[in-house]
Amino acid sequence: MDNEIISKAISKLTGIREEKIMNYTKTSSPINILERPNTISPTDKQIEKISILNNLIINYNIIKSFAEKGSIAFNSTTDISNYFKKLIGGYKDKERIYGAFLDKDNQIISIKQLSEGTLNAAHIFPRDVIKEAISTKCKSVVFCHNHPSGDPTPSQEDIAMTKRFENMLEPLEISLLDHVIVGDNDYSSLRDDNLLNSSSMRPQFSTGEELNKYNKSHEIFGKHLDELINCTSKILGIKDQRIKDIIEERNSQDISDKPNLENFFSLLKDFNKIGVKQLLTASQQIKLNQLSEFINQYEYVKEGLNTNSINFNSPSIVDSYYFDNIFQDNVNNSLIAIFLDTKLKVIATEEITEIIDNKTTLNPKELLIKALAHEANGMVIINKNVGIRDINKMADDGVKISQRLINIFSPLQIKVFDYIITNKDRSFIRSLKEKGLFPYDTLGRADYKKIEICKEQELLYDKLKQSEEQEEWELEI
Amino acid sequence: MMIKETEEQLLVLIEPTEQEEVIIKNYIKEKGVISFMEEYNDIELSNDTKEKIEALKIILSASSD
Repeated sequence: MDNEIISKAISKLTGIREEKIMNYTKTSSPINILERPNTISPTDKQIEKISILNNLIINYNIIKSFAEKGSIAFNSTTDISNYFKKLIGGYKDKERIYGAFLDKDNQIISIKQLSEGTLNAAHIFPRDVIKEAISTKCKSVVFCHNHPSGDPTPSQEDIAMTKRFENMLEPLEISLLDHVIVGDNDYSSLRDDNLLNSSSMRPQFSTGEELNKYNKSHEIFGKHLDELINCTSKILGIKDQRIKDIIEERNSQDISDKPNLENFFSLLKDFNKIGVKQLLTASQQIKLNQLSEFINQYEYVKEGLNTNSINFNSPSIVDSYYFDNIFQDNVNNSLIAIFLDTKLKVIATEEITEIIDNKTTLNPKELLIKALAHEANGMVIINKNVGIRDINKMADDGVKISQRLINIFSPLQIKVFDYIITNKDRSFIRSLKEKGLFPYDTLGRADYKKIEICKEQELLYDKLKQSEEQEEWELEI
Repeated sequence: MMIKETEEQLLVLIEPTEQEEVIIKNYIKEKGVISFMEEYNDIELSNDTKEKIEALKIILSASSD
């Protein structure tokens, strides 16, 4: 649908000026305003209207779906996730927890928003759940909430909260059927992950669909697995039959009766879990670790390429992904802020000031407004230089700016991770953090997540060099 | 309960006159909110209210894409 028509419609209902919305549509679809309203700094009244509009959309879709089908039943985790992904999967501003209250046939009696939290947390009041469960006379309950970061992996709090509710509902003979977490295009189910307690009175899902899905993926997976086992065998020097035995052994131990071999990743993790490491020589252990780390990094890069959303895990990302972009159009020296979410995923990149006559002027208030508008949890500042200038002077400036920003942003729980100086001909890319020049605040030190792994890799590389000299490349297990 | 809630949200957003509000409530009570959204053009409402309902339909359609 035409952006202009949608912008006019939003303007008509919320009172936000059309020009403001159109300006936003230069970089994003206008409908995204409903998910991230703070981006365009609306008034309190406009925020209220957007909130009502969001709730109306959810209610309307449920009513419409009900009118079309006559009833809505949750017979599998796929049903639940499909349903809730439509309702709350797109929300990026805060977590929202919904409860679906179901009858004996798993048909929806009522859907209720139980909580609206912050960017990375939301809490349910037990009283709200019990009240609704009793008034609807439901037989089971399903919880669902969104992760604005897009990553549906359940947190420890999610798991603990679910178990608390499961125990609380059981004496009322109401079962907690599942807790589904939706992200961008994916979901996780605590039931599928075997994180719910087993209960004899739990209603059964019809698992046919799940089973077909598994059989199909396992069939395709099997072919690739043989190839992977072959490659691993060559790299690690372990006989391929032994690897197959290990996998079989692992499967027979898995009480969940689910494949734990969705990808090669888990295969390597399984190696560690079942103590195969103890059976390997030192050099093979190093190879195994390196192979795991290679796949880790590969997955990470692949994810970045697929989603156009990069995880800012190390300063080298500037060189890999941002260099061409930041020097593309603008020929001025400037500071650029890369805003990150809780998972260090890049939310937005914005030019925040210009450097004129070697003087850097930065308005922290403007930067703060931008960070809040993007609901960022962290940021990296890039000093972009078109020409070659005094690197020491720039580093000094960087230390001062970083210190100032840390003092402003840390109390708001927005981390300033690094200050990176770069120039157009790539003659230098300097990370103050890597150089040990980055100042730390008293509230704690922001850090890249992968730093420790990098150090570990260096150590492993040294060990490998030593062990290759000392040991022969053979193994018998 | 959900239909009542939706009706209230709808009324806040489209800001009808008091007279229109009565008409809309009766229509939804009789035929439901989905029918109202599909048939509002045949109901006696001001142009401004109709434009707002049309705007709402556009957003509902865009959000489900």
